[in-house]
Order: sequence, then C-alpha cells, then structure tokens
Amino acid sequence: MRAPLIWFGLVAALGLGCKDDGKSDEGSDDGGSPLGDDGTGDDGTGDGADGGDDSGDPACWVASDIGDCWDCALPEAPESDSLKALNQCNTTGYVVFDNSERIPASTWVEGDPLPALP
Amino acid sequence: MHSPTPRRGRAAARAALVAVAVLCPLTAAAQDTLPCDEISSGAPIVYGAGGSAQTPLVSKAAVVLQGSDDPVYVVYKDDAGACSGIYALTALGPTTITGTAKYWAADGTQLSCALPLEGEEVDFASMGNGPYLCPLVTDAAYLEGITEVTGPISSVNVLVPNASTQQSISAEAFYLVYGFGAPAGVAPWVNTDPSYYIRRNENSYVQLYLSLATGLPVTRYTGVDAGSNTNSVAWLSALADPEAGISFASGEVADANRATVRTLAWQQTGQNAAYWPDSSATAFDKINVRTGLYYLWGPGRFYGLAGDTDGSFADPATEVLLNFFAGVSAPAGASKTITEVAIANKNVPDCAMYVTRDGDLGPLYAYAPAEPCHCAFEAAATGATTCATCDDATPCADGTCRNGYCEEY
Repeated sequence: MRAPLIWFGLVAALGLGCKDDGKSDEGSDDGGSPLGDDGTGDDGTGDGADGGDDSGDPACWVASDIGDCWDCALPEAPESDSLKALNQCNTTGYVVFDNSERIPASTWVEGDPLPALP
Repeated sequence: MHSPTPRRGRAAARAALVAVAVLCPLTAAAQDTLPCDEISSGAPIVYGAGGSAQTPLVSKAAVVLQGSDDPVYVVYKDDAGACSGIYALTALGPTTITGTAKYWAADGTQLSCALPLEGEEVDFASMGNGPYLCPLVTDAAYLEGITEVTGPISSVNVLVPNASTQQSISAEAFYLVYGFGAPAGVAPWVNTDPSYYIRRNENSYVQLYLSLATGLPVTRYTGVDAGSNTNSVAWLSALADPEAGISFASGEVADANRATVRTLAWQQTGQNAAYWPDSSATAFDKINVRTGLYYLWGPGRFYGLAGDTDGSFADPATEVLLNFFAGVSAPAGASKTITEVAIANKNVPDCAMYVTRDGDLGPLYAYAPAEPCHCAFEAAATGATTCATCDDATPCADGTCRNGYCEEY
C-alpha cells in the first residue's frame, strides 16, 4: 500500500510544483489575502511541476519559517517526520498566515508557548 | 438489526405516549410521527447514534441500502454528539436512544420517526474521531467486543460567514480565539458577545479534532454550543456582524452550505502557510486533503458489536451497513458504491488519497491505493479532469483504465 515512488510520480503528474521560500511572500498578508488572485493558487512562485529540481537544488528544498528545510517527498513510514509532509511543495490552495501580525504581541509572541487558560 | 415486530412492553409504552399526547396538546405532534419500527415494511432496521457531522453520509448510504435487493433501513440519532454512539455500544452512556430520530425517504428526504418510550438499542456508532478522544473511553478494555471499520475521509473546517473578509487562521490563533475570546485581541474575532464564537462540546468530533490540533482543552471553549454541525452553520450565517463571527463544522456540512459560509485556510503549527481543503476557497477537488497539506482530516469511523470472527459483526444487517461504509462489500442491487456516495457527499474516498495517517491527526505518510480513483474523483467532484478517458474499445496509452479514466496504475 505504501509506494512512495508511485506517489511521487502521481504528484508530478498532478502538476504540484514547489514553493521555494516560505517567506517570499512576507508582507503580502493582512491575515487574509490569497496569494493567487484568481483562486487557482498560482502565485508565480512555482519553479516547476516536476518536483522542482530546476532550481539547482537536488531535492526541491523548501526554506521553512521555522528554520529548517523540507523536500517535496512524503515520509515513507508513519513515524517519520510529519512536518516534512506538511511543508511539502505546493503552489495551490494556500495563503500565508502571519501569526505575529494577526496576534497582538501582548498576548503571545511567535515561538513562545501559548498562554495557559485562566 | 432490530426486528420490526414490537418488543414486549412496547405496545404499553406506546399507549402511554398516546395518553400523554391526549392530555398535553403540545405533544400531539409526536403522536403523528411514524414509529421508527414501522418505517421499513418489515425489512431490517439498523439503529445508530453518533455525530451530526456524519449525518449527510449516513443518509446517503441509507438511501442506497434501502433501495437494494435486500433492503436494510437506517434510523440515526445525532443530537447528543459524536461520542454518544460509542458510549451506547460500550455502556459508558445510555445504551438506547429515545425520543425522535432521523430516517430517509427513497428520494433522500429527511424524515423523523418516534422511538419507543423505553428506547431502542443502538446497533452502530458513527463518528469522525477515534474512540479514545471521547472523554469517557479511558481504557481499551471498554472496546472489547466492538468492531471498527473506517470509511470515506472527512475534514474539519473552520468557518466564517461569506460576508467576512477573512481567509485563513492558524492553530495558534484558533487557540487564542476560542480559549480566551475577545480578550485575546485576535482581530477580527474580538466581539464580546459569546454568540460570535460558535462551538460544540466535548463529545463532538469537530471540537475534539480542533482540540487535538491546537492543544486547547476540549472543555474550555468560549462561546455557545450550537448543538449540531448544521446549527453551527445556521447560527454563524445569522450573525449581525459577519466579520466577527467564527464557527466550525465537518467538511461535508461546510461544503453543503457554501452559499452562506466559507472555509478558512488552516495553518497547523509548524506549517509555512495555511491551506484550504481544496485548491481554492471555491474548488471541490480536495487536493490539499488528499495530499495531506490540509491538516484537519481523518476517515469516518463506524462501530458495531463484534461477531464470532475477526472483523465481523454480530448483527447481519449492521454488517451490511458497516461493510458498505468500509467499502468491503455492497449489497446486490445497490445503486451506488461507497466511492460514489462519498463523492456525492463531498467526502474523499480512500482510493483518491495520496497520503494516509495512523490514528487521530497522526503523522502522515505516502499512500498508494490498491485501485486508485484520482481521475474519477476529480471528474465527479469538480466536473473536469485532465485524465484521458478510456473503455474497452479505447484502451489507455499509459496506465490502467479504471472507472472510465486512465489512472497512473
């Protein structure tokens, strides 16, 4: 049932491209502005539909806002890093949400533990 | 399955109900409601309890099964939260359902029938979450003697009125909004009126999933309990200030109400961006659920009392229903497969998934269904697909012909 290579091919066939920098759209978000103005999510940041190796990176690396990089492939086993999957490359259906802008710093600062309920 | 033959004491109970109706005009309407055990013209009836999020799927499956060559009818009670069904089967709560329950006409029209005063035993439970998220299921021993199957994939959607300008929310923002309400200052959800924070309760699948995703204790939500997914949508769309309103419901309920409410893109902790379930707020392709980028999803769960063999059910009619949900089998003469039912219900069939996960909101991993239906799903759900069509006379140049489309394999 688990066939990552087949899956990867399917993703490529679907045309899922790569977002090469999670911060590249910083500043465009007011907490609600879709990157894709036509609803397709095509924001022009995609660098290819084949996994993104045309950027020169060997495995479609994606810069993460939390300081790491993720590639486009899904984990092969359930206990492997799920964040990698969640941050896989995709140019469809996303908006950048800026917690630091939406949430007042007096309440919570990005990176800190969320405040305990009263 | 329950025999349509009245149980001992039911006639007396019904007489008592009539007597009450005569004495109290307010209950006279209930007297006109068809008794649940009379809806099937003698065919088996399966009684279920569980979440309102599953009601649309249950209803569509019920219509298919009651129209099959060996009809099975379904009566479902969904007003006590998702966990009520598993509580009934495990005796952690009432083992019977009482009052009125839902059933469906052949054309899908939802109807109401009257349960006996002494109650009807629950045959199956339906919910979107696993049993261990239900607060009373604290030990695996409770689940001994119960068989679980999983069905089509559903999502949990955070909603705003269509008139709102909001497009997205993060797990952290959700925690603050529903944990603290207006004092959190997460604009625009800062109205001091609790009715602007529409929630469910600790027995609700959608609230349990959001708590699991955000860390917000399931009993600590601010706002008002809408009582059902449908009400969560209705109450939200009725707010005077749409910008300040927020709610949540299952994906199928949300999608069925796109005329009034809109799903927010969700950014799980650690994600770089927020994703809609679909490729856009208006699409129906569920691509971000199917690839796992949209975090809040899981398969439907269905439970019945176990039979003598592993994976079987004690009651034959319950087995027909739950095997249909699971895609194990469909009765002769069934007009639709579970895949077709799932697509019609805005769920994702297992065969259209690229990822799977273990447990509730568990880690993701790649998934290649044995008989993929990506093309058929996209064609049916969106009305278009880039896949080539095929049939016996027109084989696929590449891949395998399935459901009239050339799948990758």
